[in-house]
Amino acid sequence: MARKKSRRRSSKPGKRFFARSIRLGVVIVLAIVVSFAYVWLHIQTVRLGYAIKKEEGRLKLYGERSDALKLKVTRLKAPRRIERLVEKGSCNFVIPDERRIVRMSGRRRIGRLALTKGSMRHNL
Amino acid sequence: MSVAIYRGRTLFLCLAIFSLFLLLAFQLVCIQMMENPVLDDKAEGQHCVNMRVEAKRGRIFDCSKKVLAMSVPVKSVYADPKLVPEPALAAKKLSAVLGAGERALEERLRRKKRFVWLARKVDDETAARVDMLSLEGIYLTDEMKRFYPNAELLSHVLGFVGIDNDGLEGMELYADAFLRGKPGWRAIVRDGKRREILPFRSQDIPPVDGRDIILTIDAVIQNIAEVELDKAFREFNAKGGSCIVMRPGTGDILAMANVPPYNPNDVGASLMESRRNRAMTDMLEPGSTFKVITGAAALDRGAVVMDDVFFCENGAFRTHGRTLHDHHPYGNLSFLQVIQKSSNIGAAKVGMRLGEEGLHSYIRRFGFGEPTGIDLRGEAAGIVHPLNRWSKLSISRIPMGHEISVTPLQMICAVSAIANGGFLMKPRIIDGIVDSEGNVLRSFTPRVRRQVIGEESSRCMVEVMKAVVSDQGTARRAVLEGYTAAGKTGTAQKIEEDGRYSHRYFFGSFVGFAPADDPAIAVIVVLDEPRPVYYGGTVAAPVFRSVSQKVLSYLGVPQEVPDVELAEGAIAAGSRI
Repeated sequence: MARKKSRRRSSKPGKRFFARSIRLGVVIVLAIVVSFAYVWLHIQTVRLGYAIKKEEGRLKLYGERSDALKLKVTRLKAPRRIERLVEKGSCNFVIPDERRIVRMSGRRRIGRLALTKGSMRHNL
Repeated sequence: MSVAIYRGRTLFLCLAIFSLFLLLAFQLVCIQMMENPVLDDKAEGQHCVNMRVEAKRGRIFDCSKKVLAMSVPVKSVYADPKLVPEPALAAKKLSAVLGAGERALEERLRRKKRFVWLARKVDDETAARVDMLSLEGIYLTDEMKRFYPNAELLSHVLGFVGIDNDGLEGMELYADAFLRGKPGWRAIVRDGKRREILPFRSQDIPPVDGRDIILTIDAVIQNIAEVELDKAFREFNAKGGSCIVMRPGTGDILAMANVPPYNPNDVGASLMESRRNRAMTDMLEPGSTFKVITGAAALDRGAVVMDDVFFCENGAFRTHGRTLHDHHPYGNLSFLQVIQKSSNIGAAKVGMRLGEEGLHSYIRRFGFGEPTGIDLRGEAAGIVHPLNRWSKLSISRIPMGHEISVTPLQMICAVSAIANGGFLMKPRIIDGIVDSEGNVLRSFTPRVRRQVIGEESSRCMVEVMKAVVSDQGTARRAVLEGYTAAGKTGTAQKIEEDGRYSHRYFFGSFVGFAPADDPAIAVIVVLDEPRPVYYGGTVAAPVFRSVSQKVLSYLGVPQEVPDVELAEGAIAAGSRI
């Protein structure tokens, strides 16, 4: 009986130690996993940051190209350039005289601001 | 080998390794504890950067949103002289690409600095060639360059910017505070490859892009004005010239052309003289165009009526010891004829009836002697002498446009007041300020400065000015097809260096509006020193005619068909039915 008791006494602390060790091990493993996850996330964040910067760069580049194209369009549409082309006759353009212009609307294209003498009263 | 020796050697090795580790530990402690602040600062200096983020300069548009000025990124070349191993070789290679002096480049590359500019705002081809050289310590960076896609068009109004994109002239200078925007700041961390580590960005104040300016100028009308003015400028070998197209009812400037032109994309290639906006900076004696101001003032004050007749002394009028001449001798002329024939003696007599005080007061009310308040810098106020400085001759000379200096802009504002019923408008050149999304932040509405003359006086003066633009008037060459025009010619003598009136150099000018009874546009044309002919009616009136004809057609202003033609059309239409 006494032996059995002593065995029980001796096995209980062993089991406890074993259980504690297991728990500690799990905690350590968890800590390591969390640490790895943290580092992995961190690396991913940095990589994502690089990707975002790369896309930002591309966006900027496209914006710049768009501006450059707008500039080119404006240059091509410059009234003086078109007049020069007409003068050269390279595009078969002809400046129409007044009689060849057909107006689609009878309204004046004077703009949003009134011009008549009567309307001056409103400006005062 | 005995065990003792073996043990001794092992012990020695262990001790050596231990000592090494101890040394390393000591070094580590030294680095971590003692040198930490210094190294920390050094690392921070290498990785952490406060970066300035430039704002994009705003664009300038015409009234139909055509781009007149915009900024586009271009490359600039810079160097870190400390990282350039062979400055002489690098300078030689760069000189061939950049076209700069080899010595000057080498001198820059030998400077004891970490940053020097080698070439700024180079074209894409040059930037690519520099990139291909792959020189150590030589880098390319982005900078914004201002472009004016229409080159010379409206250059005197737009102005230009400096190398650092600060407005230096014209609208670029006036609206610089709106256009330039506000730069932003970023506190960033960089990796070994100088790339930004985005998650570590600690401060990010984004830049505020410059506002866009929308002008009242119409690029098409501006082009018409510039082309026609340039034709006259070349034909008459003039020294310079100006042409303004304005809406009399609102004061909107539709075109402001000046010759000689210059290209704001290449300011360095132009003379300072050609960059002046003559339309508002140059003062000139208006000559006979001023007679309409005298006439309007006299009518409004009631000093004259339309039926009044003036004896024009058969061409020579002696007053206060001096003789005033007319170009042609006239006897009796009605008030309308005085202006129509541009009689100096008649105008002097109209002025005398009005009196010194009356004339001076109306001159000031018409806005002469003070800036018009246009939204541009450098406007001249003109010269109107105070009444106490008038000589006895002044009352006979000022009515015909002598002894007074005005700018073309002042003159067109005054004539617009006659055209629109008597209201002096503030000239409007900025229509609004918008952000990059097009939201209107500020709009500029037409502003009446004051009523100068009554509507009846205005109506009478329009009739007088209509008579000028007729076969009997001095402005036969300003007669339009399909529209009635009103206006006045002017030929003013310039002042010689000795202060006397020149008999060699003149200003030829014309100011008018059309359609006369419901004006859509007012136009002034001034040519400086035209040769060999110099009369306003010969050199400036044809420019008015061609500009007005084209602009009225472009604006879609219906032609004024005489009643007879309408009736004939109706009869013809009836007969067809």
